[in-house]
Formats: sequence, C-alpha cells, structure tokens
Amino acid sequence: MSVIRWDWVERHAGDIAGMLGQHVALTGLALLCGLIIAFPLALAAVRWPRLYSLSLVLTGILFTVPSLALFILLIPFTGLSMATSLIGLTIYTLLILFRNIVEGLRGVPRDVSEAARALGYTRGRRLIAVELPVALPVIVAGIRIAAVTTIGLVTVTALIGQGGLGQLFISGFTLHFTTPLLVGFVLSILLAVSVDLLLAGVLWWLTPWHRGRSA
Amino acid sequence: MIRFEQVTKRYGRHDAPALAELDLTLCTGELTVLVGPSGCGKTTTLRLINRLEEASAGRIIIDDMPIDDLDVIDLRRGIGYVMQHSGLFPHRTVAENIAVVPRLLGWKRARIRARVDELITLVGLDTGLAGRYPHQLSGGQQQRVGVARALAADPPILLMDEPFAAVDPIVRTRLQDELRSLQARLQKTIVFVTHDIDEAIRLGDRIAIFAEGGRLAQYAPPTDVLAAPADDFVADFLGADRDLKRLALFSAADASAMSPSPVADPGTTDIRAIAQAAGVNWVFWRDADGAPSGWQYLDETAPQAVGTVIGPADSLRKALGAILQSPLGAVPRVDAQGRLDGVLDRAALAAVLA
Ligand SMILES: Nc1ncnc2c1ncn2[C@@H]1O[C@H](COP(=O)(O)OP(=O)(O)OP(=O)(O)O)[C@@H](O)[C@H]1O
Ligand SMILES: [Mg+2]
Repeated sequence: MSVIRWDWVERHAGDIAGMLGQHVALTGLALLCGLIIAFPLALAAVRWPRLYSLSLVLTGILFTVPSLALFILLIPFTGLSMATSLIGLTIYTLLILFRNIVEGLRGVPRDVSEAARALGYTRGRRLIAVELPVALPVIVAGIRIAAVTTIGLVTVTALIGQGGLGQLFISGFTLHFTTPLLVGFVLSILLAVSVDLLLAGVLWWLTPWHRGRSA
Repeated sequence: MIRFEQVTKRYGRHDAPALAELDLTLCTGELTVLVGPSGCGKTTTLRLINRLEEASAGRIIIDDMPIDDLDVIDLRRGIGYVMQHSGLFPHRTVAENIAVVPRLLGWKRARIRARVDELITLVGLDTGLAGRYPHQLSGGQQQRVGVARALAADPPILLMDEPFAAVDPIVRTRLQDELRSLQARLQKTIVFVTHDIDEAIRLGDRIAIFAEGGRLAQYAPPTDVLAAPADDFVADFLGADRDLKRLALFSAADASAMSPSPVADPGTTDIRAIAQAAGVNWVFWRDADGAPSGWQYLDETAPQAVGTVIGPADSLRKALGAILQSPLGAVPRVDAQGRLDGVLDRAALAAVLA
C-alpha cells in the first residue's frame, strides 16, 4: 500500500485548490489588516517612547495566550465565522508587525534623520522618502515572520470551521486516513517557504543599496 | 551676515544654559570657526542657525531678517549642513544624495544632473563613484559627498559640525586644504565647528572660542587670538606651544631678514668684512644668478653645501625648524625667483612675534 492515494488526491483536486486559495486569502487579509493597524500604532510609539514600553508589555502578554484559546475567546462575539479567524490571525500579525516597524524606524541612524531635517525635508516627506526606506529591511523581516507564522496558524482555525488547508488535517484525523494529512502538511510547508522566498525577493528588489551587506 | 543677539538656549527648563546670552556677528563670505572644549555649546550654536534648535531667549538675524520670521523649511533648504558622520542617506547613491536639495526645490532633471556632475568634480571625487552607495565609500569620500550635498543648491551659508573629526589625520589635512581652496573660490559664509584648536587656526578667518557654560571667551582672527589671548582660559586652550602656532600663520616673506645679512656674491675676496658686519663668523654664498650656492666659515677655505632653503611662501614655523637644525642657527631665504634675499635667524623670528 502506498503512503499516498493519488486517486483520492485527483478526485479532490478542486476542493484542495479551494482550501489552498482560502489559506492564501486568510493569510493575505490578516497581514494586510495587521499592517494597516500596526502602522499608525508604530508611528505613535516611535513618537512617544512611553507608549512603546507600555504596548510592548501588552503585546507580550497577548502573545502568551495560546492561539486556540484566543480563537475560542472570540467565538461568543463573532461565532464560528471567517471574522473570528481573521480577527485572531490579525492580532498575531499585529504583534509581530508592530514590533518590527517600531524597531525598524528606531533603527534609522540618528544622523540620517537629522540630516533629512537639516536639509529641509518636511516631517511627512522625511518619513516616506528617508525613514521608511531605511527601515524597510527590518519591516520586511517582520512581514516574513508574520506571514510564515500566520500560514501555520490558519490551519488551527480549522477547529473553528475555517482553516484553509487545516481542513485536510481534520478530515485526515476523523477518517484515520493519511493522504489528506500528508497533502495538507506538504502544501502548507510549500506555501510558507514560497511566500517567504517571495518576500525575500521583493525586499532584494526594493533595496539595491542593502545587497551584499550583512543585515 | 549672521547675528546672534543675546541668545540663550536651555534644553530643559531647569537646566543650566547650554548657551548664555550670546552676542556674535558672523561676517558674510568668511569662514568662522567655533571652537572650545566638549559640551561648551558649539553644536547648539550651529543648530540654532537653521532652527534645528529654537532659542530660549534672544534672536538670530540673517541679513536683516530674524530667522523666526522665515519659513523653517525654506530656511533650511537655503543653508548647507555637513555633519561629523556624513549623515548620508544609505539608500541613495552618491549622485542621489547630492541631488537631495535640488530635488526638494523642484529643479528640472537635466539641471540636477549637470549640477551633480559639477559638484562631484568640485569636491574632488572620482566620477565613477556617482552610482555607488555610501557604505561602499571610504570615510574621506563620504565626507566629500556630504560637502557636495550641502553645496548642491548653492546656498550662501554653510554649516559644518566637526566634518573632518572622523577621518584619519592625513585625510583630514587634505580635506582642510581642499576646503580652504574651495572657500577661496566660492566665498561662502561658513560656520565651522571643531574642538581642535589647530584645525580652527588653519581654517578660520575668525575664530570664536567658547568656554564651559556657553560663554564666548574670545572672537577674533587667529593671529590676534594667538598674539593676545583674552584670558587665562583662552591661553590654556591655545596650549604652551602658542608661539609655534603663531609662527605657522606667518610666511617667510613676513619676516625681516638679518640686517645686514652675511651674503657674499661671486668674486668677493673679503668675506671677513661681510661676516663681521653681521656679527657672525660665516657667510652664505650667492651664485651668478643670485641663488644660494653654499656657506662658509671664515676659517675654512671651501664652502659647504647650502642645506635647507626657505621660500617666500614657506611658514615661519618651517623656517624655525630649519634654523634649529642648522649649525649656523640661520637659514637663507629666497624670493619668488629663487634669489637669495636675506638670512633668517632666531632674532628675526622673535621680532615677528613681538
Ligand atoms: N538635545 C539635548 N538635550 C539636552 N541637553 C543637550 C542637548 N544637546 C546638547 N545638550 C547639552 O547642551 C550642552 C552643549 O552641548 P553641545 O552639543 O552644543 O556642545 P558641543 O560644544 O557641540 O560639544 P561637543 O564638542 O562634545 O560636540 C551640553 O551640556 C549638552 O549636554
Ligand atoms: Mg558638538
């Protein structure tokens, strides 16, 4: 008996593609929401350092909550819905993204932002044309970690009825059938690796000045 | 002209002032050096000029305009700024870094490109470096790019905060020389901060010496400061070799040679009379073209090789070194055509310092 039943895979190819699609969509949406929320928060935290230490404590506590518990806590409010899974996932991306955006911006050498000020950049232009580009490697590093983490977490949301490829694990376990388990396992790893590489490639393309430097 | 009127700067409401009731007028087209020990308010003074810091009291006036009446962004774009660690943008190439202010000012592309090329040459960079990123440059090259960036929009005022402090001494000397020749051509109003008194003396048309607590101890041309330190603080700051530093500021042409100088022309038979008139027991020989050809003790029959000759543009400090090394305690000085026009001894140098 072979480890994998290819005929099953062939029969369910459409379903699997759908799950993969949902997996990507959930991950992408969670990252996007995370970025949209983390960004202004990070800007505020850079501006008011006290806020930063406070928020680090808060996010640290949030991070220790087991992921499943977090989703379950949300169920009374949003039910077994896409919203529940998305909110939970977003919170996790938020924690990672916030920290990295703040660290990235704080890592901009002082003389670089001082020079921008002295040369007559307005505050907004300085942020967009100088500080963000210089912080980009650290920010993208955060997005990569957040993306890979989220891809793993999406499978957990199968337990609340969502979950993309995670649904394959559920059916594998309930049917005592290894094929869906393996397919889910391999596909989610492939997805994580390719998204990570893709983001690394995007960073490489965006930061010609950073190539060949140790990060 | 940049005028400080009773300017005080406190960073915290209850802090001692970083700068105390400063009155100072910086002249247009001159290079003014702000010098003093660490923490005495030099950087603060500089940063007040382009409003990177705001004065707590008093006002600063540039060409009859109080800077508080100007738009701060316009003010800064009109003032070049160079700092110790170049502050170059790591994500921009050399050319893009230099183009920063022209781009902010909305210049046309072609004009920017032409200006960047011009500046790269002006500050002595290799044109091949235009496409490099700052981390691919040496410290000295980075400082040159920093200077080019500050000059890009041709601002009348240039602020430089210890721009050469982070490069090695040899490169520093070269950058100082280049800044001097650049300034001779461009005639900018430059405010230059350093804590190195030698750098201040080398570069400054005038130097402002600050003491702790942001007190201006003396403000005068370097020669005046060296000749007459305003107080003990300034004298200490100038160091025990103050007279040597002063000598470095005079050229050989400024000194009066021994009078008469013991110099013999070809065909002279009685060198004794010449030597005795000068009160010494030796003479320098001049050849038919007037160039120094050797020297001779009265009791010897043949002249010796001439040794070090001081040109009119050499500093008196160099002359002193040569005098100390010469067995005669004197060196021949030539004019621009290379003709021996007098002999310098220690008394001649002392007379300059007196
Ligand atoms: N941003 C700031 N906040 C609080 N105090 C400051 C700040 N900048 C400077 N000071 C204080 O003001 C005083 C003058 O500082 P300033 O940087 O002008 O000195 P400086 O002459 O440039 O010294 P250095 O040669 O070390 O660069 C110092 O006592 C310094 O601690
Ligand atoms: Mg300073």
